[in-house]
Formats: sequence, C-alpha cells, structure tokens
Amino acid sequence: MESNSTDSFDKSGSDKNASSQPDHSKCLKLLHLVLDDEATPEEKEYFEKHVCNCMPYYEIYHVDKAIKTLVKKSCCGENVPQDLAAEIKAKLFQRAD
Amino acid sequence: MSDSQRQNYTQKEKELIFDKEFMPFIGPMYNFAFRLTFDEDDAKDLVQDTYLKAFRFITSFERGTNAKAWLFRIMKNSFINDFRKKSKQPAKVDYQEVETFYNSDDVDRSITTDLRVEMVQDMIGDEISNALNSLDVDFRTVIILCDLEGFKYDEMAKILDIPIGTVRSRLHRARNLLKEKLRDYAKSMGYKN
Repeated sequence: MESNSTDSFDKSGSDKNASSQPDHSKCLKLLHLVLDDEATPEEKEYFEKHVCNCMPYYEIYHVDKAIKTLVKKSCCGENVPQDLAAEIKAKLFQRAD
Repeated sequence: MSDSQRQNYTQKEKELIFDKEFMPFIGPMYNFAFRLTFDEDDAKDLVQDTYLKAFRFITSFERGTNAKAWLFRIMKNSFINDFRKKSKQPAKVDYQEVETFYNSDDVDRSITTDLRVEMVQDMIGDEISNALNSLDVDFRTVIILCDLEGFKYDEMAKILDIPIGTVRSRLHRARNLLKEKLRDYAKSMGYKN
C-alpha cells in the first residue's frame, strides 16, 4: 500500500532524532503503525531504536501488543448457528427461481 | 459502479462465487454481527440480510478481489441503515459528536502507562471480551476489524467510508478506552501500580 504509513513521519529529521533525542510524539504516532504492521521499514527502524531506549514506550508497546493478541484469541469464538448457511442458501435458491 | 464496470455472470457463476468466495467468511461475519448486536437472533438476521444483499448485488463484485472486505462493508451498512433502527441495542453515540471528538486534540492526549503486560496476560478471555463489548459501537468496530479480522487501514477506510486518518485516530482512541476498562478491571482484582 503506497500511503499506509504516517504522513507525520518526517524522514529528514529521523536520522538526527534516532541518534540523539527521539521525538516522543512521533513515536506515539508510529506505535500503532508498527503494532498493526502498517509502518514502512524506516519508520519501524526509527521506532524500534527509540523503544529500546525508552522504558515507558517499551511498556506501552508491549501492553498494546499483549491486548491485541488477547483480543484476537478471546473474541472470535462465537459459534455460527448450524442451520444458518443452509437457511441463507434456501432463501437464495427460492429467490433465484 | 457504472454499468460498464458491472460483471456479467451467469446464474451458475453467481452461485459458484457465492459458494467459494462469500460463504467461507460466514464465521467472521457471524462473529462481527454478534458483536454489533449482542443478540443471537439479531446476529443471525443480520448475517442473512448481508448475504442476501451480497447475492443481489453480486454483479458489483469482481471475482478474485477482496470478498471479505466487501461483505463486511455490506454488513456495516446494513447495520447502520436498517438494523440499528430495529435492533434491541439502541445507538448510544451521536455520530456528529463522535467525529467532532475524533478531530479534537484529545485524541492524542492519553498515554496509559499504568497497565502492565503481566496484568494483561493474567486476564482471562471474558475480561477482554466484556471490555470490548462495553465500548461504543464505533470504537468496538475498529478494534474488531483491525485486531480480530486483520484488516489493513485502507481496507477499514473503505469498509467504514471514512478517511485513513480517521481510521487511525478512531483506533487510537478505541485502544485507549479499552485499556481504561482493563485497567479498572485490574484494579478491582487487586493489582497495584
């Protein structure tokens, strides 16, 4: 996807920031992009460099990641009623006739 | 879609597309419907309604493209336009108010740091599920689409008819609200920061 990343990510400032003081607000914006696998490789690299050196962001990222994993694991188990597919097809078949 | 973009399918082709490309998603569709309506009968009706519409408008669907996103979009529209009105679950959120809020500076305000990984990992599925269900439908929906169903931001934007920037801010806000619910739960279980 061509524009999946943040337009707020400033490539020109990224090298400078990565080597010295990272931009916290930029990292916050990148956090979900990285979490959702929507960040570009440059954004991911910048974020990972920052997260390694910043305990609060390290914790936030891993909490968000744990929640995302648990949501996926816990919230998709609704059992489809056994007759639902057959009912839909029966209605469609009648309509198609 | 203009007439020239509509597909010319025979009845047999339509049935094949329906069986091979649409029906495999009945599980995620039912789960989404249930988490929108919180009622088994309503969820069943919503899924049926969605599939009947999908078949009716099947000439707008190009074979081999993203059937799952197409079906989710139909379901979302059905829920908002038809179903929400008669659903046992009344709409709690005024759309205009929500969008105004999304566009405010508050969106990036909160960083919840008092929830820790081990607290989250100790939670059982019911806590997560209840916390998700307690969110207003617009926030719940973005988390379902992204975290449960794995849709990308551009796909969510199409399903929800909103810009990608709004998808991101809504998701950000939804996750913070979810964390607030989980933090409250963790506190009630005796966790301390």
